Amino acid sequence: MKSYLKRKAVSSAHERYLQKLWFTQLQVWSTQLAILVIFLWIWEVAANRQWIDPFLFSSPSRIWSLAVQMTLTGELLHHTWLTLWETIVGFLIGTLAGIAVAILIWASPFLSRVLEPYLVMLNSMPKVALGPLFIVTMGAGFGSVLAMAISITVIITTIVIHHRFQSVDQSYLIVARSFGATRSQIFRKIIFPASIPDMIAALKVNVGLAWVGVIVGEFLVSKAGLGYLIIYGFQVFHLTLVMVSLWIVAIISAVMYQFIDWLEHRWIHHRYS
Amino acid sequence: MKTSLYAIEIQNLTHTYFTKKAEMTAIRSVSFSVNPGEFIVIVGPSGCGKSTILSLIAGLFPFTEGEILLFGAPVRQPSSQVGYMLQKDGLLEWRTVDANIRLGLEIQHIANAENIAYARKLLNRVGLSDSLNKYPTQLSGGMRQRVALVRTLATRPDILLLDEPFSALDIQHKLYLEELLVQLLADGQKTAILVTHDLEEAIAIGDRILVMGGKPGQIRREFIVPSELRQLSPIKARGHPAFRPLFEQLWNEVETP
Ligand SMILES: Nc1ncnc2c1ncn2[C@@H]1O[C@H](COP(=O)(O)OP(=O)(O)OP(=O)(O)O)[C@@H](O)[C@H]1O
Ligand SMILES: [Mg+2]
Repeated sequence: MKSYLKRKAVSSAHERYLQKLWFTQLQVWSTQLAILVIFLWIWEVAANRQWIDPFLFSSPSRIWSLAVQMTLTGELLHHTWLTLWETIVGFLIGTLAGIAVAILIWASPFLSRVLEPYLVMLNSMPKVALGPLFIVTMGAGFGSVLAMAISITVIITTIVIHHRFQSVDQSYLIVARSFGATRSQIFRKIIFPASIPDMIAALKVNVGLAWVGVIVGEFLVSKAGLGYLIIYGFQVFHLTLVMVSLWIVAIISAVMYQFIDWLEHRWIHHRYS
Repeated sequence: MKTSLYAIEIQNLTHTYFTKKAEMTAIRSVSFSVNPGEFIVIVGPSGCGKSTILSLIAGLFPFTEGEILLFGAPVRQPSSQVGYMLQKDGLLEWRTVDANIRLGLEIQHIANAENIAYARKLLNRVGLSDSLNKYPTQLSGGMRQRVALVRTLATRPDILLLDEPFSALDIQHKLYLEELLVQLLADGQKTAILVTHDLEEAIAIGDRILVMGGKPGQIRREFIVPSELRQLSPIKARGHPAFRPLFEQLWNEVETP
C-alpha cells in the first residue's frame, strides 16, 4: 500500500496527505467490522444463554449452519437466483420505462400537463395494493412478481426524471437555441446528458424499491424465491429460515447498491478528472 | 437577399416580458442601424434592456412590436448567421473545453476537421490550448468567458452579439482579447454589437457607442468614435489625446439618471 501511495503522490507533503486519508479510511473500515462482529457475538451469546428466545430470534451459528446445509442441497441458490433475477429484470424495466415515459412527456408539454394529475395519483397510491389485480391478470407467478417490481419503480422514476428534464439550467438551453438547435438536438445534446447524474440517482433508489416489490410479490403469489422462504418460514415457525433469507436479501441488495455507487463514481471520475 | 444596406436594422422595437403575475416593458421604441463591418457598443445602467435587445436580435423569442432586419431579412428565429455570447457563459459542465467549443459546430452539422481545427486555433489564440481537456468547473471565471467566446466564434457568424464578454477578465487579458477581437472582426468583415459596463472599453473598441437608459430602456444618445481613435488598436487608443475628452462626455451621459 505504501508503494501505491508513493506512486500516486506528487510530493512528500502530498504523500503524507494521502497517508492520512488512507489511515482514516482504515479506521472507518475496522470500526464497521468491529460493530458487525460484536453484534453477532452478542446475539450468539444471548441466544445460547437464553437471554433471548433462540426459537424466535435464532442465532448466528444456527443461521450459518442452515445456510450451509441449504447451499449444499442447491436449494438456497435456486431461491436466491430466482429472486435476484426478478429484481434485476423488474428494476431495469421499471427504470428504463420510467425514463422513456419521461422523455415522451417532455416531448409534448401539452401531454405532460394533461398527464400530471394521473401521475400524481398513481404515485401516491400504494402499489402493493395492486397485487390482487396482477394476480388475476397474470396468474400467481413470475409475471405478477415482476409487475409488482415495475409498478413500484416506474411512476416515481417518470416523475423525478421529468422534473429533472424541466429544471435543466436555462442558460444551457439558450446557448443551444442561439446556435439554432432543434428541439430534438436540445434534448440529445443538453437535456439528456445534463440529467445523467439524476438517472443514476434514480437507479439507486430503484434498487431498493424493486426489492420491496419483488419480496412483497413473492409473499403474495409465489412458490419460490426468498420472499417465499420468508413467508413459508414464518408460517411453519421456522424462524432460522426467515433469518437466512433476510440476511441474503440484505447482503445482495447492499452489493447491488454498491455496484451502482461504483458506476456513479466511475462516471463522475470519467467526467471530472 | 442583401436588399438592405445595413447588416442590422432595428425599427421601433418594443419588448414586454409577460409573467403570470405581471408584465414588464423592458425596452420601448428602440431604433438603430448597423453597417456591415461596424462595431457597435451599447452601454447603460443595469436593467435598462441591453441583454434583451441582443436576445431579440438573436431571435431567441418573439418581440412585442417593431421590426428587426438582418441584411434585409426579418428575424423570426435563431440563425447560424448570428453568434451570441451570453452574459452567463452556459458552458456544459459534462463536456471538456474541447467538446464545449464544438457545440455550435455539432448543432449546425458543420463539425468537420477543418472547423474543429479552426476552433482549436482560436482557443490557442485566447491562451487556453493547455486547457483543452479540462472541464468548465476546473476553470476560472475569466477562462470560462474565453472558452465561451471561442465557442461563439467557432461557427464563424457574420454578426456577433457579445454580452459583457470580458467582465470577469483581469486587465491584461481584457486588453489582449480586445485586440484579438478587433483583429478577428476586421479580418472577417464581421459586424458586432458588444454590451459592456466598461466605458474605456467602449471607446477603445467601438466605432459607435449607444448609451441606453430609463425604464423602459431607450437609446439616450449616440457617440461616434472619432476616426483617429478607431484606427488605433484598443491599447493605443487608450493613450491617445482624444480618448479622455470622449470618456468624460460618455461618463456624464451615463451618470445622469
Ligand atoms: N425573462 C424575463 N422575464 C421577465 N422580466 C425580464 C426577463 N429578462 C429580463 N427582464 C427584465 O427586463 C429588464 C431588462 O433586462 P436586461 O437583462 O435586458 O437588462 P440589462 O440591461 O442587460 O442589465 P444588466 O446590465 O444587469 O445585464 C429588467 O428590468 C429585467 O428585470
Ligand atoms: Mg444584461
